[in-house]
Amino acid sequence: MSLTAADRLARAQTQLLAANDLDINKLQNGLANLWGRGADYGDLYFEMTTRDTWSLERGKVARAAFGISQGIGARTVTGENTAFAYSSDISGKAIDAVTAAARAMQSHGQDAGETGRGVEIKGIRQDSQAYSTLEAAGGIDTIQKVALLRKLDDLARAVDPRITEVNAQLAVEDATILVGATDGTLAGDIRPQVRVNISVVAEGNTRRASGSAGDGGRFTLGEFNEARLEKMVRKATSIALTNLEAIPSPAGEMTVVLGNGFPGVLLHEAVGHGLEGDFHRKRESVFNGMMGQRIAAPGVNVYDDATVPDARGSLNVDDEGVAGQRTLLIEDGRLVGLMQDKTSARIMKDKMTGNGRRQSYADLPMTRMTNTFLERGPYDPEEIIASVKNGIYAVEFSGGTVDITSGQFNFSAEKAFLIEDGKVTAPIEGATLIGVGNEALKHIAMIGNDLELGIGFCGKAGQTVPVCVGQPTIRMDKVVVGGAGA
Amino acid sequence: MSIGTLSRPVEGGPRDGADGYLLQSEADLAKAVTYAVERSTALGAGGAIARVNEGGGISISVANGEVENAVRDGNQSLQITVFLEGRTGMASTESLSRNAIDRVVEQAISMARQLEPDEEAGLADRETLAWDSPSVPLFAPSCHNAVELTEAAMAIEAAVKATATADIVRVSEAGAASQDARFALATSQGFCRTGSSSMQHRWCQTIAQRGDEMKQGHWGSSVRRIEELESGELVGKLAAKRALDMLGAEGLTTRRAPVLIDATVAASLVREMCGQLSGGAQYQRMTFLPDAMEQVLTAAHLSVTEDPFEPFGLASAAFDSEGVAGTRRDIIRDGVVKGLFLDTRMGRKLGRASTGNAGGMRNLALISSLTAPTDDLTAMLRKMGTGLWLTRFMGGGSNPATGVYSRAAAGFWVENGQVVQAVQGFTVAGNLQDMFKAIVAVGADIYREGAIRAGSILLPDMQIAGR
Repeated sequence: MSLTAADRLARAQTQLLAANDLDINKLQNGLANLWGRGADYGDLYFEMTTRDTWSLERGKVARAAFGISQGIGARTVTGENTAFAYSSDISGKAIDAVTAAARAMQSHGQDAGETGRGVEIKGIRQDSQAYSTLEAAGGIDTIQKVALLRKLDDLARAVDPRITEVNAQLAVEDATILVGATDGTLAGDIRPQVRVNISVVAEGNTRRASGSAGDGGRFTLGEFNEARLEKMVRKATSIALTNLEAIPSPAGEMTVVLGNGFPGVLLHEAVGHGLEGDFHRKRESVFNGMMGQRIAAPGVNVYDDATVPDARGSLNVDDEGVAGQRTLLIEDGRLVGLMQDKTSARIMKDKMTGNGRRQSYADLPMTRMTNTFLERGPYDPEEIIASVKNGIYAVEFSGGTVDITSGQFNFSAEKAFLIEDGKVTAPIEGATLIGVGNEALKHIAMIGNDLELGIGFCGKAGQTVPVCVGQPTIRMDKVVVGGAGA
Repeated sequence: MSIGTLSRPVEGGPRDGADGYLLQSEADLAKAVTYAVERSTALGAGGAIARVNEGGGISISVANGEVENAVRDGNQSLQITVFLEGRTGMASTESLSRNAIDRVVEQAISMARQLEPDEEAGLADRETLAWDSPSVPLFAPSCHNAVELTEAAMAIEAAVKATATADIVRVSEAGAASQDARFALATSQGFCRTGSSSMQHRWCQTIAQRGDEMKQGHWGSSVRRIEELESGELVGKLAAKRALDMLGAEGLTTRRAPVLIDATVAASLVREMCGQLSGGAQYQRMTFLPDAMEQVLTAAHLSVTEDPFEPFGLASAAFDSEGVAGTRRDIIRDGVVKGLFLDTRMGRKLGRASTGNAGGMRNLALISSLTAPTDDLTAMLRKMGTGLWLTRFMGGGSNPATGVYSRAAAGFWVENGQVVQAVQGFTVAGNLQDMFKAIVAVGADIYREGAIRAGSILLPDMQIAGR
């Protein structure tokens, strides 16, 4: 069954308001109470998330977990001052309590005595639809979930007798959210999320190596057909088997070819975080004041796109009730846009882009990425590799980090090879790539035609949200590669 | 038995009395876990263990002389684990209403029925449970309200502003928080114990600027008792200094050199050592040292100790999340592995007893028999002579199965024991198997990061990669 925007709002109201003896009037009254005379903005966020995870370890599915997370978050914003309180109870009493607590926290209660202003909210206009699945499990029952994990185990062990350990996990999540705000916003969303991941250990004569892979998005578990599982198994086992043979990575400055998909973590770290509006509002980003300037090579186009159908980072509406959208960040190498949440957009007088996200009702929204990727280019990936005399080809990465102020970023390869005379040769291990965000993308020399997205978890200020990163195969020159080899 | 709904109201500040920010008593929480366990066994679980946590506090961050975020925390959650002949079903809920507990218990049991048995899964053996061991003092509520915490955060920012410098240094966030937490743990064997704890935090994130160049600095203090906190003045001063000192940082060319890992980040290497010895790593053989007991892991002058019972220790606990008490013990003695980190299940799988580490490692300390009381930072830099004083890890990591280690870092280049230049934009790499054995010295400049105490660590030869 698939849902329209109106269905989603209606279901969110049923599940979060009606089911708890609440209605729109009670929500409007809560907002009025929250909104002291001095405040610029206030919102109430309702969430109910259920999650089940199933784990396979050493050939057995012997553990499973189920959890319910639910509650209300109340926020009020005055200038750059935010006050916040939350409750894991959803009730009229809880709305009164959290709104009172948030107001009491607002500038130590200086406006707490003021009478609130009236608030009227109505459903926001929402044209796009990034996902419409009602339930992440999609009718797949518990027996089939166990069977899916066993299938992964069988597939992985069949790849090579050197695969000695297989662990896998399956997670199914359904979140319903509703947000009402003093700017008149009323928005709801039904957000499915499924994820399957596998990790394996390979044992050779003298050493062990591990590999992992994951897949998922805002669709149903039924999408995990055999071909999809096989692709994941191939990826995880090939990382482990390749690393059984790997030699220490060379160290120093060199040309690097990055594979497509998850290696897009480069964009996420090198420029993504640095283009989040809150870091600009606070003048913390190395990209501060660079709007319109060249920050990447010509031909580089980077988007943050919450509307990618069924992708892990997609949002029909963000957690502030702004419709998810596609935002061009870098156009032909020039910085043209930032991602914004409501607070940063208001203070910077910029447009809202639907990037206000929060880990849960118990956390404050911040500017966050959704699906961030480099648009495809003209080159065949083979052609890109052949163009490199000596360098490395990095296919899989485990993740990365960035210091947004200095722009220093790094990300770690999980599967990489030497390139010698235009040919991929020996596997290497321990390659960490580093650079400076506002410089590195200027060295992108070739962009492939094989754009793909990879799934990830993005952490910022202690909150984790699901995202996608992505890119086609690219060639970057003058990258510093750290490894233990000479 | 019956319990009412335990859903909690939220208030603007701590209520009167010595209960800090918490709204439920240990007796209230004990009722909730007892109900969850009884409900589980009534529905057919062979064994059950339940834990409920309540947390509360206030967190204030300031910048530019104004409050930026003022957050009143108040959370609770209940986790239940049921065992049906080695099948393990787990469930959690944030609502402690009877309906919510009933729902998740039923769900845990129905999920468990679909699983395959794991003979080693189950409750800890009765005789290993900490029925009446002494509790560890951890509860010291500050009862500070939002105004007091705001003043504390403002004092930190004032210290940054008062820093004398030719460059610009500002606060991107200065903060003060106070939190209290409480839990109850019950098993179907009749075990039920509770506990309360407190945490006080001060932190400061700064940005130093010289022309277009910007550098971040950070300092923080996190302790259980208010009197142990570093002063706001010190937190602000150190945060400012750490940003200012990095201005003008240059790259390093690719080279091999000795590295002194500063005491403030040395805990990361202790974590790498102990990570090799966790039950999961040992059982799944995600380690370069399988069957680690009695094998050599580090240089012979090194030992690592664990103390679960340190009063007001950051990782102290009278018993672990299965109800098993740990012991004061050596993890590594004279370079040889003497202890693993095991919970009941991993212990059974490896043919050993639980070490009381369900839920994690306790307070750890790295000790070297070569350390002299005079081995402060200056002495350690002199001992290194010429090399890298590494003060910041930026990212990267290690592969526990192979020991391959490669991390982006920053710090200072040192010649003849004297700091000559801030450096950044490079990686340090090696293999942990060799690095642990190669450690030359550990300083007396002990710093506690998280629950790990270590002095600065001198490595004789690392691969540095840069431009």
